[in-house]
Amino acid sequence: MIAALARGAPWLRRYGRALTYAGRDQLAYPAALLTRGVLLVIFVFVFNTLWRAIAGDDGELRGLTVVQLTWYLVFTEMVELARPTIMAEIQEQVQDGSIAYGLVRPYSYPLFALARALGQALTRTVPVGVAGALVALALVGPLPGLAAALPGGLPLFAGALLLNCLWMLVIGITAFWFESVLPFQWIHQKLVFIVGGMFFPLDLLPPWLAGLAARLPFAFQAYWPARMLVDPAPELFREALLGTATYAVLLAGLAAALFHLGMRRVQANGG
Amino acid sequence: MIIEARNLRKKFRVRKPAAGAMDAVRGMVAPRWRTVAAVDDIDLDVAPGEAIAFIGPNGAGKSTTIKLLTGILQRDTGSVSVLGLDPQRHRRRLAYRIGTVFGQKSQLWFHLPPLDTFRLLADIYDLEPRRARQRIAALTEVFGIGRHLTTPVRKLSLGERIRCEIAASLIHDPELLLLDEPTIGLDVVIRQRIRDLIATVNRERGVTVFLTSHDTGDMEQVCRRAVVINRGRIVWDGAVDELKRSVLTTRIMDLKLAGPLALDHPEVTVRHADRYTAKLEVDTARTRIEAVVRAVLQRNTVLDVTISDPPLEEVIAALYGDAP
Repeated sequence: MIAALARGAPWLRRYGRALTYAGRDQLAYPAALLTRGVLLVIFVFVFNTLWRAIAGDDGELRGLTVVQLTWYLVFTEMVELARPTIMAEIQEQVQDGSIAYGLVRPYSYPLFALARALGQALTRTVPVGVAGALVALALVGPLPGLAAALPGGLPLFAGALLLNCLWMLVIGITAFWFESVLPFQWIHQKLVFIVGGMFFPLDLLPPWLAGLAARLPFAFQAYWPARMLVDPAPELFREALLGTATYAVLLAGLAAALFHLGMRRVQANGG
Repeated sequence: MIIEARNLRKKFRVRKPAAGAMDAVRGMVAPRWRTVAAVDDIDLDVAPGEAIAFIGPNGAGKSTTIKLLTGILQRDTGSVSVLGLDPQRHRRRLAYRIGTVFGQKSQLWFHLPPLDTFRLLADIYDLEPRRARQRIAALTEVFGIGRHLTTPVRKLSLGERIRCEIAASLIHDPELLLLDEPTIGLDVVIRQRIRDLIATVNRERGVTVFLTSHDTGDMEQVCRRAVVINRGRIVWDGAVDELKRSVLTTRIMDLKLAGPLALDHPEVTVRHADRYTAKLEVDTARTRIEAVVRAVLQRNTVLDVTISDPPLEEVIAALYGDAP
């Protein structure tokens, strides 16, 4: 991957390597990685039981089967449980002033932080996905039509990971103004849970609320990729991809602008 | 000149602490600020190949100066040129030509081997793969870190880690090496090893060294010129030997004893003594430290002894006749 990046654009090589190293860095504590998988097993089991109780083993909820609803949770949680630690790292660097040390290198700090976040998220996704797939297979069997859904679902899934990392980057950078940014992460997470369709598809909400929620950024890091993987709708793919790309560009721009403003605060208040 | 600074100034805005609960509530709405001059009218010239110690007590303005020289911070007034570039306007271009070591912040990836960090830094500094391999091989030899290259950093000893840290800062063959408190928190043996390595880099490789420290030992053993800064202003600029002759004429001896101190030596001042400990000030311009140690051992049972330089605050007070 690094070699490919180097051939295409040498200046990108540093970010490619940072992404790879951040991924490898995660392997130092395999127990922590596996714990995320165990958490997902518990979530999937509980929600599968709930769906069976509401819809019955072979029943449907708003056109989605229990099999689809169970796999849906596996996919949304793969993004959520892969959440990188970059927000906490930036907060710490801003608080102790060490962020200044990262600025003596000839690279873009926000882009470097994003590469690290993506590396962390990609590595974390793997054990979570394996654990989720195993428990889903045990409870409801394979997901029908998954192979056909992958070409549309995978780009949206990758986009969801990117959006999650960008949110963490943006929230982390707000540490220039706020002592602790944890409450913002908490609010973001709860919005993804409720209006992003983390635990159940937005289709289960009243139509007016579902329509609104599906256009908010939170849905593009939970509902859209998972929905396209369990119940592909080619006519909606373009809309979903466009929404993901739009929010990614907006968040990246916001991160760059906030970082620029944050650096002005460093100038005024000291490193 | 490698570094040329004229009338360099940098002020910071610092929030005033609240005086009581009402003031704290008021401060949440309308915080009150005071201005602090972190760097106050500094003139500085550093020639190629020099090893300069920029020393001063905590909060004197050392780190702010380094941040101004690297372009991390922007000056309020004055001018500064580093390697012919304005750090403020050409921060990225300058970054390719300077190396930095910040004693309080590691640049090595903790869970990965140092070799990985070296490769990443080579990419960051746009080194061609072949050139990167050559640089890593050369630094591995100079710093004696061949055995540690593929060991995760977390498994290295502190001394091994610091050697890798300095090697990492030299990957891109910088002309100027800025070290901010490189020996902070290190024990005596490791500190000495690091000082030797920095001196080697300066003398044998011709890299200009700009070192900040609040430890006079760093200055004595690495540098030929010392600049002392206090409250943002330069209070001394001259040869290290001259500074040693004129100011660093005392050593502090801390003793742990089996009983009360028994000593009568004309060149020793007893700063403090109780039943089991004593702190002595030895005038090294008049007597050798070994002679005092011998005199102490003759009449006392010594459990432990530590010999150190006087605190930098006292050195500055001696320079200016002014307590910092």
